[in-house]
Amino acid sequence: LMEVQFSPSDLAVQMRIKSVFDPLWLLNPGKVFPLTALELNERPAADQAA
Amino acid sequence: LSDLQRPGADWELQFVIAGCAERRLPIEIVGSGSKRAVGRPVDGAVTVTTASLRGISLYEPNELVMSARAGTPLSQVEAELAARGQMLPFEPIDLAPATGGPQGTQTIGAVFATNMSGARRVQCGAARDHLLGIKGVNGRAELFQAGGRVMKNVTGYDVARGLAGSWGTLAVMTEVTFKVIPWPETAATVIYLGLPDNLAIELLSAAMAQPVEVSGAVHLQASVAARLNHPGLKSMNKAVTALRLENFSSAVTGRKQRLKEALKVYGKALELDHRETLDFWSELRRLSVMPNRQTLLWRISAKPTTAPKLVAAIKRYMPAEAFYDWAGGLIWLEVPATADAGTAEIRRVTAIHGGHAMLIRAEPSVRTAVEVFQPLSPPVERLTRGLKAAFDPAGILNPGRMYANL
Repeated sequence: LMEVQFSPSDLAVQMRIKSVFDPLWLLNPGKVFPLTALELNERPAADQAA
Repeated sequence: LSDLQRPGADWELQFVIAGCAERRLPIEIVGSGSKRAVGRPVDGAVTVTTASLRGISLYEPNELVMSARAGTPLSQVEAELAARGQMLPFEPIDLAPATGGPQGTQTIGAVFATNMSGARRVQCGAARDHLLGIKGVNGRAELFQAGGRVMKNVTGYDVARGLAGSWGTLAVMTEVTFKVIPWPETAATVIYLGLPDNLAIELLSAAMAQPVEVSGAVHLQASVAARLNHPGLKSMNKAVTALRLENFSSAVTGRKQRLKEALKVYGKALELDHRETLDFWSELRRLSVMPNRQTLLWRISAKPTTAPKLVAAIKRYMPAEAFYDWAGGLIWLEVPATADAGTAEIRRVTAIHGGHAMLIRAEPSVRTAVEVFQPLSPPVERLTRGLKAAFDPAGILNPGRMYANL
């Protein structure tokens, strides 16, 4: 559903927010975001270093 | 003078931001520019205005929802709503009269970007609580949307809400979708005169606890009330404590009686009729009781119960005149101009009594030198920096607008 409602950039914005609060994606990793999207995107945590 | 860009479409905005991101050029983001004198000044190489992104994109009166391009003037939004007997619930204030900006020009995008709500917040909630969705461009030049057109949108993070109050430091909103409500049939105001701050706030708290749906609860110290336009209230030379009721005429009449009965220990009540009520609260919306002058204006969020103590504590260090809104939850405080804006004392006192203080009006040099927004605790600062890096890794959107080096 997330991929139907949100475009890749919409999802990226949300997933980067998750990375700020939970850089290692330890908390309920697949609960809100489809983990397939996680694989498709560059590792969100890597963005943080920038 | 910085280069002024007026994108008329989302892709144009993306193009401008992409160019600046590549060259790391700081961008000052404005709507009409009415709040440029508020917050920390931005030293932008480029100024982007949303003024050419204008127009109502969707209005469904039956669904109580509207979408507008971010640069649409608030006045146009309110006129469109009024034509269908509706309004914005949170009664956005206009800071321009108090800060010397152009009056009545602010854009709907800026209203949400600064999350500035007026008196009706005590009943309805803040601007951010009515923002259902946004479209915007972040510092990576990505066009994204967040939220939707309905209240019950449960998937994903509520990114729109997070952008409300971010002052253009995370993304430039290009469209906002928000909830609206019908105008009440009748409005009335019940007023008590001459109460000291502590009794007045006690009265406002007691009124808020009554099941009468108070939609405005303010207290103006005598010197502040003397600046009202209402000829009667202005000449009394007394503090004014006012409560607004809005509903169908029959309900307002009954509730007014009930309220006066519950508050009779505070003295005899005056009343403003419908017309006078509209005038009185629209004055407060424009902060006309805190006119632009060579003094400083602080905006302090407080616990209503301790707000009078907080003001009394500040008065031990400096003269201060107060206008309490939100039943004491918000204090507009005018103090004399000093080089450091009284920051040390005011922040110490708010730390003791619980509260957040923002410096609203001061010379640009002062707003550059001192912390204008409430300083962040270290954990919150880390998260704030992380969010800034996630949305705007090059740090080009309104850099330093809220916090230096951010």
